[in-house]
Amino acid sequence: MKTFIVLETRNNNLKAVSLELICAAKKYNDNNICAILVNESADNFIDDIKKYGVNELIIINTTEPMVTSTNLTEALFSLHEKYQPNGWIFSNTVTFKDCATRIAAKYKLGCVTDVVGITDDGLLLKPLYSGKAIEKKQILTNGFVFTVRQSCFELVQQPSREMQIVTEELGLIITKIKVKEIATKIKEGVDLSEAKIIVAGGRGVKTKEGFEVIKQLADKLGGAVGASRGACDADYCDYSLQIGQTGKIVSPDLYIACGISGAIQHIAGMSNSKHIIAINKDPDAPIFNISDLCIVGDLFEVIPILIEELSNNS
Amino acid sequence: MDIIVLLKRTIDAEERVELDNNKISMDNVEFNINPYDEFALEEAIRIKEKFGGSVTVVTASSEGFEKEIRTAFAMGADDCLFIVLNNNTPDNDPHYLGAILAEGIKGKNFDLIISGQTSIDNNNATTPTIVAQLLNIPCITNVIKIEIEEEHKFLCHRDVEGDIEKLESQSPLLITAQQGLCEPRYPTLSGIMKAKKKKIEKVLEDELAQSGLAASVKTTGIYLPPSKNGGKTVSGTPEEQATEIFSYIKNDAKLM
Ligand SMILES: Cc1cc2nc3c(=O)[nH]c(=O)nc-3n(C[C@H](O)[C@H](O)[C@H](O)COP(=O)(O)OP(=O)(O)OC[C@H]3O[C@@H](n4cnc5c(N)ncnc54)[C@H](O)[C@@H]3O)c2cc1C
Ligand SMILES: Nc1ncnc2c1ncn2[C@@H]1O[C@H](COP(=O)(O)O)[C@@H](O)[C@H]1O
Repeated sequence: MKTFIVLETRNNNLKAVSLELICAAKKYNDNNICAILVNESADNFIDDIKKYGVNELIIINTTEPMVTSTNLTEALFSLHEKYQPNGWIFSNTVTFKDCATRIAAKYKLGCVTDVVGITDDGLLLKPLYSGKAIEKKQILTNGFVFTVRQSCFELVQQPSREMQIVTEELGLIITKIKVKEIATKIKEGVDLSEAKIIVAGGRGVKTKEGFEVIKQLADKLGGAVGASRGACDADYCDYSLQIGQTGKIVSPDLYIACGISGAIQHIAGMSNSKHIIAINKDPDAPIFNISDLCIVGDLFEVIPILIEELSNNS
Repeated sequence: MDIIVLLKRTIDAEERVELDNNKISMDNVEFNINPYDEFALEEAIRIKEKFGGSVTVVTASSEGFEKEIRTAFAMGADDCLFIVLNNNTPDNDPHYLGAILAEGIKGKNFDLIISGQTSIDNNNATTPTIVAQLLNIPCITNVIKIEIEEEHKFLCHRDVEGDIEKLESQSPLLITAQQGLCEPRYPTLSGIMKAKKKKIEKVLEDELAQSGLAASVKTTGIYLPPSKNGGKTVSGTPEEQATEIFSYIKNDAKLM
């Protein structure tokens, strides 16, 4: 019985969520865990994954010029057929959620997306209604697929296991869907999905220049910049920064919402943050209902002073 | 072009969620078309307006979904296949629902299926992929723009957390709609009048459920997360507020 997890990397380094996948696999059923890596070298993190207890690493090399969930899934299909794993665990990003549901569909495996925890008796916890409720789910099929929200599983090291490394070569993948172009946004600064601290701006920043204040605060705190749909629609920043039901789901240690009203679709993407601070002029803004510290004030007055205090103390 | 739209209703995004007997209470709540399905429907109607053809709404629901279907008709949908679910259907099970929906669709002619990217109640984002697999057609998820250069050939722009993938496929094809694809129209008065006369085709779940179709997942419990009512409110001067934030980051969040 094998559980496959698919590692997520950024510039040849492992993303933290990849280790969380290993820990989620352990918690679900301490199985023979097999990690999969696509088109990358594992040199930078091989010891790390060993430390968390992976039994096998399969490195897939493809000649695909562009990797999307479409052709990635085809590669995973061929692994599934060769190794017959019992289950698959992915991170809950757009790309990997797509892979997960396709594998579930093709092999008729029960599938739960956006898992935020696992109970001691192996039930998967999943938020419903934008996080207003949590359900406990049991997968009834023989095999399973689930996707894991990042920063929800505690990293627990294990005694190193003997890890076998296998390389699989795959040629060009032919599907009914042709990849024409991928426009990747240049991402500066700290990766939003990995960040421990996120400073997010909303329509309340008023202009593109106003958004700079958000970036400065994020920089000072060593955090990442996020945004509401309102800020993206108004073109204060790029859509790749959007947090919420349509955008990214994040769970940092600290989330500072500046000039964000707190629409449910935004809250869906950040309510799991450990600490939430909101700065908003409107004392009745719904964002305050889920905040630990509610600053009723003008972000343009408060943030510059905060930046100065942070500078004086560093 | 004949287009099928997968439409489901969900309780309104703004509704408070309460529990009743280990289930989400559906008493006195406002229902709506799932917002992402509204994008799907709007896009389907626009394509039909340009290329001709028909828009058929397919939905699986327990009885009582008429209001939203009438809205879909008023916006411009032509037909509706309403798959009536039993009261004990595993209604949050993408494999089960996907199989029923796919069976219902098999009886229809179509070039394109458009669904929502996710439903806002259970947030599975899984059902459409399963439908596409069962119909053996390609599936492109999270689409924010559809370019149709020639009939039956679609260039879809996918939103991958801000990055854009441009993927091309031919019909038959399933596309899931992401926010940004289009803005749903408001029904016109004449649309509303016409909608009253359109017929809803009903079929019972049992007629579509193939033997051996079983639940793939089960909900064993539901709870509400602890609410955060104890937030501290700080008015005061901007200086005081900044100091308060500073101290919170340092002493409460312990991030300095
Ligand atoms: C299907 C669907 C999906 C959606 N998905 C998302 C999503 O993924 N993410 C998302 O964010 N939204 C999403 N939305 C949109 C969401 O409903 C809201 O419209 C959006 O979040 C509002 O953004 P905002 O809070 O920046 O703007 P607003 O609601 O306009 O709020 C601006 C806030 O700034 C405050 N403000 C103004 N000036 C100042 C100042 N000087 N100092 C301090 N505060 C100030 C105001 O009091 C106000 O509360 C979605 C909507 C739909 C229908
Ligand atoms: N019961 C249903 N009837 C019709 N369409 C559905 C149903 N359930 C899900 N869908 C479609 O599948 C999409 C994704 O749903 P889900 O997998 O539940 O997140 C929705 O936006 C709908 O378009």
